[in-house]
Amino acid sequence: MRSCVITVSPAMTDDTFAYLVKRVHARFGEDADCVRVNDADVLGGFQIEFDGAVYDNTVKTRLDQARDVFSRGGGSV
Amino acid sequence: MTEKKISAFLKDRTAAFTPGPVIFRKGTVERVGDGVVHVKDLPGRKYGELLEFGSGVYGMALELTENGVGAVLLDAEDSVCAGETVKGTGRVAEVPVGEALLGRVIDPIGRPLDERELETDLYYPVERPSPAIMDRRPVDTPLETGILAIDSMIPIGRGQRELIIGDRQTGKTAIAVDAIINQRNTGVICVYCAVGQKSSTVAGVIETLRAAGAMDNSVVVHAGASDSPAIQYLAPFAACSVAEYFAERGRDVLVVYDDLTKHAVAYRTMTLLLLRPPGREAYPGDVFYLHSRLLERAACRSAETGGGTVTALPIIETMAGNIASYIPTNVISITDGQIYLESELFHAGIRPAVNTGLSVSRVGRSAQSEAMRAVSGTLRIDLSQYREMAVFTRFGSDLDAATVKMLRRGETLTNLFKQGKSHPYTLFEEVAVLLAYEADTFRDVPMKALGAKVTDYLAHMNAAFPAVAAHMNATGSMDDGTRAELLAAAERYREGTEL
Repeated sequence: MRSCVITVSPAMTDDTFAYLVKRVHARFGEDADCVRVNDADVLGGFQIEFDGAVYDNTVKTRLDQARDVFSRGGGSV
Repeated sequence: MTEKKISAFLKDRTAAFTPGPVIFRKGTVERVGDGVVHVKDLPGRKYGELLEFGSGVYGMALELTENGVGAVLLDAEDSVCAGETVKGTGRVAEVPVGEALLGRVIDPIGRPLDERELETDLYYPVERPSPAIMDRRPVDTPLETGILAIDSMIPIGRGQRELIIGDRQTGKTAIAVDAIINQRNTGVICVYCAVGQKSSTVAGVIETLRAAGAMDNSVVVHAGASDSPAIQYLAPFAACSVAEYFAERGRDVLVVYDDLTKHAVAYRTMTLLLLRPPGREAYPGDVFYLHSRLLERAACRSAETGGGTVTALPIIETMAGNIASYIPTNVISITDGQIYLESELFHAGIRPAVNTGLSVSRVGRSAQSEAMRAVSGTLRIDLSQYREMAVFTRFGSDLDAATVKMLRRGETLTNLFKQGKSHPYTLFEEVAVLLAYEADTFRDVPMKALGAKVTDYLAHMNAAFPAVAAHMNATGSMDDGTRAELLAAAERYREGTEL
């Protein structure tokens, strides 16, 4: 079994998490042992860590991306 | 108006915002110290890959092991902790390139140092292959430095590598800066790469270029003495990538590496901290390859590969005039000639302190303009004979008239080569001075008054032959009739008659 860590917001329901695990198994194989980690900092979405690769689809990362785009220089109001 | 601007700004940025998942490979910091980080795991790691640590600090993977990576940090290590997550970016070190860099001061990874944003979308890797043999053409176009001693006897061509070598405080940077200043109206782009220099020194260079109007077609890449060895290591390669962007688009570029001695020291520091086995003088075994792969990127490109040129002026600092030590001999063997500056000449007031006996340009007269070639043929021989004969005058022996004349002309020529800092000559002025030497225009002028006399002579010649000057400066050519006319004018100046 290979370890797969899924980091989600504590607010994610069990049903939603189960669906996520099903998608992970479809992508990485049934031998992916999925472990749920609750982290309020992610705000929403999920982060999957498997075989040294990280798939970050959290709301926190999206907001960081938005901040980078909106705070880029070269303009004033 | 402000509401409209806010609305337009938000619309523009919203259009640019394309969110999506982020995928990266992950490792963990095992230990960190002395600017080196050891990372555990990190699957798919590649040599030279940029690694991202917390708080935006970057490192470069330079040691791949079975279980992890040894990386050198590009920034201060204070914010990197053991146990921290490391992201593999999948990219190598890159530098922004493009027209937006002209007039700017940046660090080797493209961060602006002149307190303005840098807006460019194009990035080149700092390490790039040099042009292949068939992608090059012979060097045939002069790069005028505006320094008479160099343009007449050690001519540099576009696409050549010419080393500037000498002890500390002998005017190496001054020669390079004068060469940059002389390109201001020629269309040649200049890149000044400062490696391990004091920030105050580089600020002085930038100010000199600005005051001379040369900053608009120049880029400064700065990795200071307080920057990490990794940043200092990257600086010359980044500067070359900036230059190559223009050369691939048909432009001519001059790159100054100031200096490669400090670059070699930074590389040695980095490799010793990575526990690589030290070789001669504790340098790693590939220190020659460090500079050869950099300087091979300076080339005269064929039309098929852009047609532009990259001319390199690397600078090497020697200790006690020893040009036979390790790094100097390495770079001398790589380059296409050297300009050797001597402390004794400098302290004797001969500035630029060029030792014409030990200096050479392997490209030679094919890189000289037609006008300069016509007037500079015997200079080296004259100086060589003067130096040999000058030895005998110390013994106070009786000298015949011809020898006295030779000594006087040699002394005059030596003093004619003296030139003020940041005052490059135009090609016409250089030719005029050498024609004055040929006509013995200054034979009755005391050496102490020669400098002022030359200035007055050049002002007269520029005023009397403006069309000739403009033509010669633009085309580099001089026909026999013009030569005779200018020679006659130099003779009349000596006689004190109207030009």
